Formats: sequence, C-alpha cells, structure tokens
Amino acid sequence: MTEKYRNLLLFLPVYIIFLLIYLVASFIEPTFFTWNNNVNLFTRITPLILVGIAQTFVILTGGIDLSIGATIGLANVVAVSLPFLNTPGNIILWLLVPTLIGLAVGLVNGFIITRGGFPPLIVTLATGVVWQGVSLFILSMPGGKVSRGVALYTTGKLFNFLPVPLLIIIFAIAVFQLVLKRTTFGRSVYAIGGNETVAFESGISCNRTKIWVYGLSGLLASMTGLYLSGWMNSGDPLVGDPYILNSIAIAVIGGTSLAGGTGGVLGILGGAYIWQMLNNILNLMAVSMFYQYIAKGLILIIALAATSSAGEIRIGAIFRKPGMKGVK
Amino acid sequence: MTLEKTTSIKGYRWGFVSRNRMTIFLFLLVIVLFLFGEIISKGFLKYQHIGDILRAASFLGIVAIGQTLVLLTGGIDLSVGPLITLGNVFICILMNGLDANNLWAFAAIILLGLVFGAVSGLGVAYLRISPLVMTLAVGSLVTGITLIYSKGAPKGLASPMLREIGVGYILNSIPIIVVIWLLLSITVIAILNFSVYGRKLIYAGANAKAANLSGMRVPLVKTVAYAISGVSAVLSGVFMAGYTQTAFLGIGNRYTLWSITAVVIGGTSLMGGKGGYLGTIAGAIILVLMESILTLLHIPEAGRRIAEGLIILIMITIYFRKRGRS
Amino acid sequence: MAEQSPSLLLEMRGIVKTFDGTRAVNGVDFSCFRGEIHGLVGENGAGKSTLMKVLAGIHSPDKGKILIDGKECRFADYSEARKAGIGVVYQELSLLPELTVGENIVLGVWPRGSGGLISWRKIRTIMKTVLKDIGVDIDPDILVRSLPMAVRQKVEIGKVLAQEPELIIFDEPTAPLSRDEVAILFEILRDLKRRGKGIIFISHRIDEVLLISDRITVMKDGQVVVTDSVSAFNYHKLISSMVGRKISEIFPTKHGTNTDAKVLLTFDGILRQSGKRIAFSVREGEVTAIGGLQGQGQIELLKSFFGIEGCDRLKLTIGDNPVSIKNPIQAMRHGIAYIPENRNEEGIFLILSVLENLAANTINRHSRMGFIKLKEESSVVQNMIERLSIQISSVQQAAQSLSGGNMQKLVIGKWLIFNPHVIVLDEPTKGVDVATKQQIYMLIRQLADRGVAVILSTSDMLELIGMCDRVLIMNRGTITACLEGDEITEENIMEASVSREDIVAAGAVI
Repeated sequence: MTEKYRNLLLFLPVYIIFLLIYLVASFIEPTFFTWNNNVNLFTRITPLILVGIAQTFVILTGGIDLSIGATIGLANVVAVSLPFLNTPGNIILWLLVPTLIGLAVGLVNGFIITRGGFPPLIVTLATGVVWQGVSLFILSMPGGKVSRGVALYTTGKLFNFLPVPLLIIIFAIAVFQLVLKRTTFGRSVYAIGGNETVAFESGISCNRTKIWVYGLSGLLASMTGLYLSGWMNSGDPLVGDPYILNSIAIAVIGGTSLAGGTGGVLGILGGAYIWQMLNNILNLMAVSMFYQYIAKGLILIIALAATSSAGEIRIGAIFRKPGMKGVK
Repeated sequence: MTLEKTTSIKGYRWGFVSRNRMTIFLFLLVIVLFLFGEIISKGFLKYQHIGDILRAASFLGIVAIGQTLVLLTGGIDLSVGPLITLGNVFICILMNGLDANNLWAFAAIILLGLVFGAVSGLGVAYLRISPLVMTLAVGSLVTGITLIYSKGAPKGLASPMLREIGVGYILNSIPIIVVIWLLLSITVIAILNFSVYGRKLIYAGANAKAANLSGMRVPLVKTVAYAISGVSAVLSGVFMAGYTQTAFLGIGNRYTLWSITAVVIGGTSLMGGKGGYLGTIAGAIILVLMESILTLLHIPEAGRRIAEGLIILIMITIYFRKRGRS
Repeated sequence: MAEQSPSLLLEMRGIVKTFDGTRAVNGVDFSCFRGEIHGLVGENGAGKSTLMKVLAGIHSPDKGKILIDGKECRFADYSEARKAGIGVVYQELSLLPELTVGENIVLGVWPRGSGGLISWRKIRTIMKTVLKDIGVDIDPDILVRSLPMAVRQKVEIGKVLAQEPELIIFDEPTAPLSRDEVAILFEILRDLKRRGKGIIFISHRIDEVLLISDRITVMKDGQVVVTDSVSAFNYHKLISSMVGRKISEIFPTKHGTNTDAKVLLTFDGILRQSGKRIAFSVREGEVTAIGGLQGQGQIELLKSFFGIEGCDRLKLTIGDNPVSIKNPIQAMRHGIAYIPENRNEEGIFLILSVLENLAANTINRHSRMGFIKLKEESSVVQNMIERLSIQISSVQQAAQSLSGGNMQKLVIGKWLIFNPHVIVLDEPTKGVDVATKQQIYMLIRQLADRGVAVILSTSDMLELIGMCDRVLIMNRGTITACLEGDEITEENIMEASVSREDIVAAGAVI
C-alpha cells in the first residue's frame, strides 16, 4: 500500500465520524449549525489542538508527556501574575516569558528521560507534580487578571469577523505538518518511534531529538496556558489538568499509535472536533455535563481497541495482499 | 555445589540480601522521620498521633495493594483515584446512615470495583492496550458514573458500624483501620510470596513471553491483578467514608499519584517482576510522614507537591540508574 | 584489452578479535580490490560475521590494521565506517516498515532543498538513480511493510547505495530469494563491479559463490584457510576446505538407529512459510536432529510442537495417540517440553532468582489449595541444582548474574523437573561453555535412553555428527535429506544443506 493510501486510512475515518456527528447534531439541534456556535467551537478547540499536537510529537517517538497539564497551569499563572506583564504595551513579553518557561520545563523532562534512561511515564508524572507545586506557589487560588488587549489576541476577532482561534488552528496544523514532513527533526521523530536502533545506526541523534520533542511539548503547553488565560481572563494553577487525558485522546483518535512511529497531526482537527462536540452537544441538549466523562471514556477505549496491536492485526489482515505491489 | 563469586551485571542486583537491605533501610527511615517529627513538634510521638499517622497510611496502603500488584505485572493503574471516590460516594448513598444495609452495600461496592478493574485488565491483557491510557479512560468512565449517580452532590451517611471502623480503636489504642490494614498486608504478602497466583504474577511481570512458554495464562494473571486493584481502591474509599462520615467528590484524586509514589519508594521495579508489598507499606508510611512533617513546617500545598514529585525522581534514580549503552 | 592492475581498496592485516576468552578472529589477513567480487565462505562460527563487523566498525579489533585505499583507518562505530565508504547489507534488514521506500532509502541523510527544508523532489531523483542501479522500478511511496522479502532486500541495497559506498558487504543475501531473484541480484552485483566498487559476498550457497566471485576466501575456526582466485576452486574442493575438523570434544556413545525401535512420535504438517510438507517420526532411543543452514524453517518447525504458529494441517501423534496442540498449555499437558533458542527473551527470567526460574514450569505440581509447598519445591530444586552441577552461591541469586552455561542449565533444569515425554531443543548449546556443553550432551543422551523423544535443532556440525543418531537436513522449508549412522559426515551434511536442487520426493521421511 502506498503512503497516501495509508494516510487516508489513518486520518479519513476521523473526519467521516466528525461529519456524521456534525450533521446529526445539526439535525437534532439546529442552533448547532450557526456561525456563532461554530466560532464558539473554534475557541474551545484551539487549546485541544495545541496540546494534541504536542502529545502527538511525544507519542510518535514512543514516549508520553503527563506533565503537559502542569505546564499549561504554570504558563497560565505566570501570565496572570507577573505584574509587569499585564501592561498593554508589553504584549511581546507576555507572549515570550511563559513560552520560554514552558520550553525550559519540557527540555528538563527530555533531559531526565534521555540521560537517566527512565520510563517517560513516571518521569513526566513526577515532574508534572513538581511544576504543579510551582504553579500553586505562584498562585495558590484561581485569580489574577489579564489586560484587555490580550484577550483580543487569543479569542477575539481580527477585523471584526476573522476569529483568532481559527487562525491559530490553521497556522498550528500547517506549521507542524510541515515540520513533520519536511524537516530533519520531524523525520527523525518518525524514525525513532519506528525503531530507535535503526534510527541511531542511520546517523540520527536520538537523544537530542527526544529532548527537543519534550521541549516542543512544553512549548505548546505553555502557549495553551497563555491562550487559556486570555480566554478565561484569569489564572488557575490547575486549569491544565483535564488536558492530560484530552491530549492523549485527541492524539490517538487523530490516528497516532501509542507504540510510536505511525500517525501525525492531520487527524487532530477531526479528533479535537469530535472531542469537543461531545460537550457542545450535551450542552445544547440540556443533558447533564457529567455524561461527558462517560462518553469520553468510552470513545477513548473504542479508539484504543481499534488501533492497538491486537486491533491492528484484525484490521490489517483485510488489507494485506500478497505479491509485489507497485513493482513493474 | 561450589561457591562462585557472583558479579553484579547491569546495575541493581536483586539478590536476596540486597532486596531485604533496602526494605530494612526504608523502615529505618520511617523511624527517623518519626523522630524528626518529634523534634519539630513535641507530641508527635504520642500514641494518639502515631495512630492517626498510621490510620492515614492505611487508607493509602490499602489502595497501594492494587497498585503494587499492577506494577508488578509491568503496568500501571491510573483509575484508582476515581475508584476511591466511587467507593466513598456510593457507600454513603447505599448505606444511608443505617446498619441494615451494611452487607449488601459493601458487597455491591466491592463488585463494582471488581468489574471496573477487570475491564481495565481485559483491555490491557487481551486487547494489548497501553495500561496508561486504558486505566485513564476507565477512570474517566468511573468519574462520570460517580457524578451522575450522586447528581454532583453526594448525599447519605456512613453506617454506624462503618463509622466505628473508621474512627474506632482496638484495645483503646490501635485504630481499627490499622488492624484491618495489617491483616490485609499479611494476606497480600502471603499471596505474593507463597501462593501459586502470586508466583505467576511475578513471572508474568518479569518476562511475559517466557511465562507464556512455561504454560501460564499470562493475560488472565494480569487481568486478575487489575481486578484486585479495583477492589482495593473502592475498599479504601469505603473506609475513608467511615472516617469522614460523609462522602466527598474528588476525595480520591491525590491518591492516584500517592499510590504510585508509595510503590516506587518501596522499590518495586517499574518494569515489573521485582518487588513486593512490604516495601510499599514502608513507602506509604514514609509518604504520610513526609506530608505531615511538611505541614508542621508550615510549608504550603505548593511545596508539598514539589516534594512529592521530587521524591519519585530521587527514588527512581536510586533504584534504576541507567545501564550503560552497549 | 590492456590490463590495468586493479587498485587495492581494502586491506585487513592481522586482525584479532576475542570474545569471552575465545578468539573469534585469530590473525586474519583479508583484502578486496576495486572491481572485484570477493566471496567469503565458512561454517557458522568460522569468524566471517565477526570479521565483517570489525570492518564495519561495530567491533574494534584487539589487534591488526584496516587500510582503505592505503590509508589506515579506525572506526568507532558504523557511522564512521560508512563515511569511509563502507556499506553493509545485512541479513536482517534495517528498514522501518512504517515508512515508505523512499524514506527508508534516504534515512538519516535527507537531501535539503533551498530554504533548508527536506526536498522531496531531490529524494525522488536520488530514488530514481539508486533504483535504476539495482534494476528495480518501485514506486517510492510504497510502504515497506507491504513489500515481500525479496523486494525489501532491494530497498535495503538501495539504502546502502544511496550513501555511495566504495566497498559493499553482502551478508547472506540470497537466503530469502528464489532462483530468478538470485539471477537479478547477481546482475546488480556485476554492475556494481563494473563501476569499480569492491564487493564482499558472504554466503553458505557454495554454487552461487563459485558463480559470482572473482576470488574466494575460506575461513575456519577464526582463521583463513585459503584465499585464491575462483578458478582454483571447484565444488568439492571448496567444501572439503571448509570442513575437516577433528572431533576433540567428547560425546557420549551414540546408539545408532534401530528400525525395530518403537516409534514414539510422528509429525506431519505443512510448513506455513514454504508451503511444503514435512513429515518424520522419532524412534525410541534415538536422538533426532534437525540440521541445515540457519533460517530454513527449523525454528518454525520446532515451535509448532509447542502450539505456536509454524505449521498448518498438523497431525501429531505421541505414542499411538493423535494429539492436537494449539497453545503451550496444551503442549505441556501432553508432556512436551520446549527449550527456545532465544534464551534471554523466551527461556529465562533474568531478574528472578535461580529458585524461581527452576520452579517455573511446575508451580501447580508442588502446590496445594493454591499455595506453594515451599519445602517440597525447594528440595526438588536443590536436587536439580546438584544433578546439573549448577554453579551458584545461593538459590536466591538473580539468574542474570549466572554465566551463559549456567543459565542454560536453569532452562533445561526447569524442564527436567517437569519430566517431559517429548523434549524439543532449539540450539541448546548456544552461548554455552565447553564443559557445560558436554554435560548437556550427556543429558540429552540419557533422556533418549530413558525413552524420551528427543528432537534437537542445531547448526553446529560437531553436535550433529557426535550426538545425533539421525539427522534431518532442512533446506528451504522442507526436509531434503535424512542421514543415519555412518552417513552423518561433515561433507554429507554440508552438501545436503547448501544444495540448490530441490530433492522433490523428500519432505516425507517416516
């Protein structure tokens, strides 16, 4: 099978399911289909997309980042707490400082994982708690404020109709798809996840790439924290916690296998949409929000069962054909 | 049989003496921490207070039973926090403050824990889903069910008998809960060291392929481990209800990380196959002592979290230093 | 045509490499000219692979020099060897199945376009050139995982060629190929030769080596026996220079075959990977061996005894009873023991203790009501330790701290405790010291004498000759020869193993 075909198989189902849900939802609840609701969706999807991309990169190398929630929280409280950041003129600083903190945090993760040779699960679990502590130290209760100009740049509309979130989404997916396909870093990520020994023997610097992957994850997480501060107009050290599960779910639903080496960011938009629409639909139908936990848990389990090695064996058997395909 | 000098290959050597050496050290650390507590705050070593510490450690220790077993298989259970909350909330609603419902309420909760644990186990063992995500997903399910059943506002009350178990004492000095923990600990250690299942668990965690080729039903062994984890989690939640009398949403949240921390401190290998519950007992008490001491030192919540994270990193560095690249 | 003296591309002088006290390579001189195909032959363990790994920078030599184009070189790892112009096409391919052909070929050396990003257009150009060189027209966007082995090998060659090496080592390249595919491969080799590359061709297939090589080097026991131009060799001379070792190890007395002996077991099935039928029986008192070059299906055959993959439509009878075996648990219920080749991954619990390892197969037996009878277990284990003279200082000692030989004793010991009726051993003396080997041979003979059906798979020539009463040679997924008694000689074994003739009637040797 060619790569294009495989990519279709990986990424198309998400969008088909997304379209189905979208159409059914619009049918049941007409307000779903309005422009306003869609803008609403964009706004809520943006953080999911950013963390989804972050987690995808990490999972592609065969690792996992459980500290992503804490990094979001850290950037979030920094954004609302440091006094000089909230004057309107300092928007560059406001963007830069928390972002760099997130990058540093991620690099530390990567460093511990590669130098120590420890499982990423435990390391990021532990460092996550540490960053969480730091966040609580900076801001122990939800609070703080963000200058008004900032809110425009996160959730407002440019020229009064173009939603900034939409721009962020398009930009992020485009940039990172490019990184994955056209940069040494991106190709190395796939190679490491595929077989680290082979990657190493091909001259790829595995440790360095992995450190930067975790750095990237921290970077995107901190940007998410910034975004959330602009959107909520306040800070909360624990705001990022739900995003741990969310990021993994969106990466998996978006076509990335937990074993590493396969997947990408093309399915993330569909995955994030499906994930968020659950909330949105429940809301519109006036169903208790509590059901989202059940729905999300079930969807994740189904997605996992379908993409796990046991599931892949069943699905792959359909497509395995003997003979030399493509060789003339 | 000749005596041959054994060489330590690939880092940490899990010979009999070394294994016990670490556990002894941990229990010594417990004593040291108790003494340190006394230095900071007189009265730390009063009977009553030691009892309180051990009681807190019991709640953690009980849920850590399951986490120990699961980590021994080379997996992890992130659904214990939500399951504790489920046990806590449901038992109060089902008991409704009356002793009449004790038996069947208790049985129902245990069954729930068993079922959810088994679901996690089936996904991990038979569908080969990563334990991290599977238990995370099941945890989400459990959270949803708990919220829906309690409608977001848990009602009900622990029965008098449960309350007695939660706050009462035996012989006027030892909390009942601690005795229960002791009995459970003896059972777990007996199972791990002496029972057929316990032995198979170790094999499954040490080398699943070889265990399979030795005629063991590895997926079944793993599933049972997760099922036990589910039960130990809800059990802990039930006992907590005895202590707090009413239920609290989110009561179990911190315990997911704490249970993992206790097991890591105790020396169970993250790759599975090596370790045991005795170390976890020490780990649970150490963790509770650490939290208590930090509180006495007026270190805010933030500092405690940082300490929790750091202690994991320190312990894995001690136990699992990286093997040299070949 | 004016004769130009070809330039010396590679020279290896006095290479010595020692592992664990044995000299895998013991003072070897080897050379290769540009435009030459140099065949390298020898039995398993002759030192060919080690010599090539030294050349490729994977091992550093204890003594000796490597000269490339007259310049002395020292490689710290494969990357450095690659930069010096050396490429290796391994038997186990180093491709990433989830990536495309194109991506695999340029792995690690992605060409950049303007702007610093990877240029897929340039990749396609490279691909076209490389694939044209190897005479293949594969769509570069095909995922490697959907390609059959022969094509994958071509991609692997393409990957090596993309680095533009001067010296290319091919390690057993024709093992997975059909006769037509071999011809195609040889065209590629000849083309590379014409372009002035140096090629080292390692193979067990004597007739192919004679066909393609310009010079041939024969290695035996870590040393070079002879290096000469191909015209100096013929088939028999080549084989006889590879063999001819004195059996210095002591094997227990063989009993030979006895056609009146009771048939303990019959096997009749179709090997899945070759589609060919394999049928044989095992008689009482005989040590039955499955021989042949590695990778001819022996592992799959042995695994099917234990209910793992391997064979379809399998009819197995033990004694007079037909049995059906679908998984290891059923196999054990019928008294079958399986000692896998890959000890560390499949046979032993490295981090567990000696006691736990030895007790692994018989937990239920030494238990009551779900609890282990520790005293009983301990004494059984102690007995086995003494019986096998396993060198330990404590039963609680971790298995991974034992020597290879003692580890193998753990694996065998746990099955002896199990007390099987049938024992299947896959390369039982791999990674084992000489003294332990002899103990294992003794043990195998005792088992056969006691009426256990013994099936042994080994590629070690001496074991086949010294230990086994009956040798079934597997070649390309089927049994091509059955040697008994005096027929078991090095030459016979060698010829049956490397022959390309499909001995049609064979496959059923009851």
